[in-house]
Amino acid sequence: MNTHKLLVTLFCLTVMPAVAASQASTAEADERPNLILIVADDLGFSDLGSFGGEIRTPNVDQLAAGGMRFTNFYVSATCSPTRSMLMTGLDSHVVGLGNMYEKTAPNQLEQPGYEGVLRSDYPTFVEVLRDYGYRTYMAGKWHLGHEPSMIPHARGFHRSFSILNGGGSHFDMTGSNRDNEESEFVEDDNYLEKLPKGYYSSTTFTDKLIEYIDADRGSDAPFFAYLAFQAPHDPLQVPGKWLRRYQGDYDIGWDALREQRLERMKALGIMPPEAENAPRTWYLPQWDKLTGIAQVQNARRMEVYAAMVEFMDQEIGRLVDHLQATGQLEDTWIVFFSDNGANPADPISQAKRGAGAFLDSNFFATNYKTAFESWGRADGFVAQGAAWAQASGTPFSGFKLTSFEGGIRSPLIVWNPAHSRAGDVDTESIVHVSDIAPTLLDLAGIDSKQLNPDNDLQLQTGVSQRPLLTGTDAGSGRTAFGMELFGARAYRDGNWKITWMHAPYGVDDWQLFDLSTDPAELNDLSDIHPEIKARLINAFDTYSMANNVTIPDRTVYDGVEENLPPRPPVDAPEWPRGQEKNWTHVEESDNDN
Amino acid sequence: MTTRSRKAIFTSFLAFSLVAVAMIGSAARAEFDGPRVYWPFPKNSNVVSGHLISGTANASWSNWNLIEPDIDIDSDLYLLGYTRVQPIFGRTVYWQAILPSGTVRTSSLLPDPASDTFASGFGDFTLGGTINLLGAPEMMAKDWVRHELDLSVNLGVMVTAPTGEYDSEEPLNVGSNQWKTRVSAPIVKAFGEWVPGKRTTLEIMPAVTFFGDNDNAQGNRIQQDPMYSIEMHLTRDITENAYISLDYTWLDGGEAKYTDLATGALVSESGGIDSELLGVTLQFTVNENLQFYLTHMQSLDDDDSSLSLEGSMTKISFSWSWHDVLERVSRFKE
Repeated sequence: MNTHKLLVTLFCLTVMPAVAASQASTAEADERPNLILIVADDLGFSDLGSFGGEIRTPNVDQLAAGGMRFTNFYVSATCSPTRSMLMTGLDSHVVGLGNMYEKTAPNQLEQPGYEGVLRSDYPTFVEVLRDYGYRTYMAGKWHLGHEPSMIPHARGFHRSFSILNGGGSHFDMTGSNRDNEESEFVEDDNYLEKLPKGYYSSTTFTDKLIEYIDADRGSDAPFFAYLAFQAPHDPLQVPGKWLRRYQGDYDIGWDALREQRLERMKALGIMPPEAENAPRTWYLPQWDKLTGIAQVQNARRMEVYAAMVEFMDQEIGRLVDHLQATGQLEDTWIVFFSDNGANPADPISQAKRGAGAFLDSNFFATNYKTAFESWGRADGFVAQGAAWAQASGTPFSGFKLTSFEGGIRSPLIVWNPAHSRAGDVDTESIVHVSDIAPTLLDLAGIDSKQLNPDNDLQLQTGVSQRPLLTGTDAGSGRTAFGMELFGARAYRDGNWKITWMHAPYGVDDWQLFDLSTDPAELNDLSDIHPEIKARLINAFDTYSMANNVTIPDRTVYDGVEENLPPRPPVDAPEWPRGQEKNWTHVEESDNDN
Repeated sequence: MTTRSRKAIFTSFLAFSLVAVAMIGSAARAEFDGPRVYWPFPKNSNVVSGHLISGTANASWSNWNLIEPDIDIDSDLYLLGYTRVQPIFGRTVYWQAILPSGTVRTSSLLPDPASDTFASGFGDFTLGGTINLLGAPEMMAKDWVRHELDLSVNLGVMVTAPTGEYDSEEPLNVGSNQWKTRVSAPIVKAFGEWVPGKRTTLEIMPAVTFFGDNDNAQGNRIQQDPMYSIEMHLTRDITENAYISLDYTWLDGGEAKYTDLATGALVSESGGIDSELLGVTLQFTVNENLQFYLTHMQSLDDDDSSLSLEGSMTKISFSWSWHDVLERVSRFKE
């Protein structure tokens, strides 16, 4: 830690608490709002009812009705980089999550900013809130480090109950892969040997958060509560009674589902009228061409996923109801979003191939039931899969792990006690996950500059979106952001976005899109607007330089192109492959001409 | 792209673990269906089953309730069964055919020492159907994949025709020379998770068997009252590919009158049967088509009553089951 950071840290640890204490002792402190931050794990952009989804999410939808929805909210393409930016308000490449710990490339090893855990020399906004007198609680997924100095207890939370890993069973401590055979849990600074009786992630996390809030109800201090759901991350698992809650609802298939969702999104104002669905990712089968039995089996994936999302919504409702019953809701801001796009990965299929296939398969065979009959159950392992993941991200191209909109655009809902701009759908403002920290600090009346201890103005730093939320200003001033993960890159400035995505998902080069009319990134405008593309590439390079981006020399996409089928010559929904009737269509068109 | 990679990609959409219709039990015979016979299965499922039965009892296997307290009859039987699931009225229906054969002999002294104590040949052919009333509507393979058994109530009728080898002069036969109609109401209740390795069921099968007259049994006509039975199975998976069943059967009724064919005079009367049997079945699934079963049943009666069936039976069975759609899916699996 350099001298400047040390001084800032010492200042935070000594002077600020004194200031906070004096604030807390005044009547003014009582007026500071409670803050609740709810994060879903791998939830797609269009899954919520309030964003066009058919999944029953009445409680989150109620938050949306009483608050604001943002349709241009951006996160990183995977979990821990997003969470690092959430906690610090700075770019993931600066604060230690330039890459996921699990995926760090050879040329990123030993590089500052690529530790794979949240660096301790950048304060979390929770530490700042704590120092200013807030009571701070967390329950849920952390994924920012396992060491005692890295866990929530050490990063600002007075009380915390957390799974430290990126994933794992929702019912017990079984891990998610052979490198994490057992998940690690902590409560405060205690590493747990066993979980509470009747553990189910969404329920227990909510229980814990309510327990922490209730324990301090006598306190005059406001609270910040972070509810980091593990749902609906794989393994998709729900309590037994919920297993069949959506049975049959997805027999329509992913193609029809995407069409239905897009129509609802347009009706809700989430998507512009001219928006089109991105083509089904080319290697995914057309639903109607699956046999009935394959349809039923694949539908089960989405049935369980939807049940998980609704269960999470139910738990959110339980928390909100509790706040209302205890008279705290009217003093509370609630923020909800997802950490990245829906997850295309299917670990069971992947475990059968590639290096370490035997060990991976052995892990799953030893720790989970992977047969269809066990899907969704407490000991079962099933994932959503790419086809449904793309449907969850309707209408976008891509999904989690990609720099397409399907990977990095997330539904954001901000509920405020004054109900200012209640029900509004903000389709204009660009909001970034790094804005959450300064915004919450701003709502608490705290200057967010201390999140950037070096006051490095070149860093991509979060900005407070409070003006947007309170309706006092039309915009926050953010017009652009850059991102990189696994070599997948993007830069958005206004309505323009450049996307660099690995082949065969992308073209191994920059593409230019106008998101105001083309949110699905269908039409590469590089040839039409080369000057805009050049400007954005330059902006990305500037972002990249300032924020410590090192393009990895090994990524999750290595070898993918060799293992996926090539894109077909024609890749358009109206031109289905293998159907001769299209020749008739062509002839008719010719005749028309 | 290689064929292999295409297959790998597509197979990810067919993440099946079908034990398929190998779950279909092996219908054995009228009195003892055996465990897990009446689980719901998809339309067009087929099962061929074979049974090797060896037993000793104080009655002939062809008519359990004609008990001869003082003799032991050894039976070595071979049954071939076929079951097809072919729904009607929108309900799952199991159509069954059973053809028995084998030998029966007695090692005890008969009333007439000169009598032949050995018989062999085909037994009586049985044909029938069982329709589901509750819990198993007609199911295509895709519906069956999604189906989880909870409570299943069925109604079955099996008719046994007097087609077997029968010599009216002999006291012991493979065929029974009488029509039998068995009406049953198999009820299956599942408990817990419906997942291979965890399934538990309680199966209760009350039944009544009506007997036609045997119009010539060594110069006598045999008229029998109906016989009532309750067959029960408590089954539990012990692995994903094996289960164990505790089997219990109660038999009562079947009182018989023997009248002289020439005079019509009452010759003798039989009190029928009032007995219980207890047994265990072990099942092992070899692959998606083939299953093996081992059953042992023992009578619980040892009071020398004329109504008590005394003896034991050991049965080794196999079943080969298939379903066109599931077969194709199975073949596509990696």
